[in-house]
Amino acid sequence: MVHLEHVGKTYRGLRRRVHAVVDVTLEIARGEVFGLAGPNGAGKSTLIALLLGYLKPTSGAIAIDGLRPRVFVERHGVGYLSELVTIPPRWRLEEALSRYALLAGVESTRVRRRVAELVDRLGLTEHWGKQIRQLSKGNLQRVGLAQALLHDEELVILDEPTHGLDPVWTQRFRDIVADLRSPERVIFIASHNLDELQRIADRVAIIDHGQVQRVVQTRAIAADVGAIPYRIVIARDTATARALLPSANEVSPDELELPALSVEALNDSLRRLLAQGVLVASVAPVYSSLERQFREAIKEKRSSE
Amino acid sequence: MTAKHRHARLGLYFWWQFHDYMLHQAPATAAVLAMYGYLTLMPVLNGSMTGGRVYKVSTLPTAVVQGFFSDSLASFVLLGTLFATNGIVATDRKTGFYRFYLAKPVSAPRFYTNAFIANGTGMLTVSLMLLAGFAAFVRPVLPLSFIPVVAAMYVAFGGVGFMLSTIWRFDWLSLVTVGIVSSLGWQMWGKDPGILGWLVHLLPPMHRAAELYAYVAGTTSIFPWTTQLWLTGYGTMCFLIGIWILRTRSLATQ
Repeated sequence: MVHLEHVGKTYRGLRRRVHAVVDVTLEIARGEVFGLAGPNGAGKSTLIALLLGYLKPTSGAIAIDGLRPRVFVERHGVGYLSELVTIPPRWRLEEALSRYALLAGVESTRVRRRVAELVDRLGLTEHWGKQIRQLSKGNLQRVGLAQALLHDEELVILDEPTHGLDPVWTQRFRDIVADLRSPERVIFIASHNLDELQRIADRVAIIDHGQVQRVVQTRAIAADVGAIPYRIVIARDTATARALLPSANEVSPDELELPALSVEALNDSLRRLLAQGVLVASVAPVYSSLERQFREAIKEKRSSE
Repeated sequence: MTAKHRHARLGLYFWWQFHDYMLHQAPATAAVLAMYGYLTLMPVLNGSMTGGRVYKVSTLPTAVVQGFFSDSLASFVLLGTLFATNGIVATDRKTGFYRFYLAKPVSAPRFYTNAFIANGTGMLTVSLMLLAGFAAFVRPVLPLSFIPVVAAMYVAFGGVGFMLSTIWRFDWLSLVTVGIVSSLGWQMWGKDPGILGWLVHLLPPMHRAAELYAYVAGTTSIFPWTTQLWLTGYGTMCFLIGIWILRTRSLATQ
């Protein structure tokens, strides 16, 4: 459905040029939840602006269902949440959503009901009559998400969707994305939160310096975790644990960090601890397997420069 | 693609844009005009401009009323259009408000044309309210040419403002500059047979607007059709250039 071929975008200033997106080729099929991860300034937001037709590529071509992005948006609309939620501050919440609903093409007789549904679903009922400027960052983010969901769009683009959300709403956001999944729809999510992308996306493109460094299948990396560091919290007999795991770093009196280990090596270590009567309270990876891929991709890019 | 072709409900959204104008620009326009009227009329009424002769509103000479009406109309049209088109596109681009509007099934030219018409309708509404005030407090008048002349001047001056707003965010300042430069340019080189005389034709023909205001005020009885056509034609051309810029230029700055 979304096809990018050798897409480049260069900003030309008076003194210098910035290559924000360099030779990006991607194909995203219907039914996919596609993630885009990258450090700040990697080109994620530029790529999204290109997908919405807000910017034109300097080179290459983008087609959404065979149409130029702007033509696609003008004909079908896109469920879009921008990184910065910019809504006129004096608008009231229900007014803002009613206006966006009309622009989204929601039938006038359904506008009120649709707005009420989304306000309820996103837990904004108590803020119904408030002005946008009176809302907290998290609530504003939820209003932004609500306006993106007003119509049943076939392309949903979410830029840093959980930015400012508390853990409860971050979890609910995952449920919303799960509900949105459809064989007819593409959901495109740009995020710094690699753990979140690993949970909800089918594939994640890792981008740095405007270039896609690698495209990761999240299901495949879930099965093949590879070697990553782990933290172990000891409930009893920390001294024995320290003696049995000499390569571990002490993070706090009862917490140790093991260097990068395979799952098999981790289980061996745990068996040894348990056999000696050490009581383990928790074991958690220091970073996710997607994060490992991310670190490797960025490191490769940096070392090749 | 199985998705149906869909359109934003711009007909209904028009009333929101009209509501925005009436809430934000209309009070400023009406307040400035009311102040202008008071400051212009008071010296005539208290005699400070008429050699000590004091007038009541009801006894004002017709020539004074016509002059006041004509000057007020000129000020209203310039200020009202300035308020109505200031930042019409540029503010949305600067603040990023366009991002949500234009992710919906609507093109930038259609969305901003809607806004231009809504603001024009708002300005006409305010002008009729001020006219009603004039009729109630000064002299009962309701010239039939009032509405088409205000509408034409909105297109003429607003078209230029709209185009400037699609180019950069200093549209207010540049519209005032264009107004001043064109007035001076036409005054200085309007009859020049050389290159400057030709170049000045690129500037908006604002110096001709006085002919329209004079007709509305009743000081002349022949409607200046050519002036009306020249002004609206110029404004329409600028508006269409603005639409073309919206169609071809990237909406995002970076």
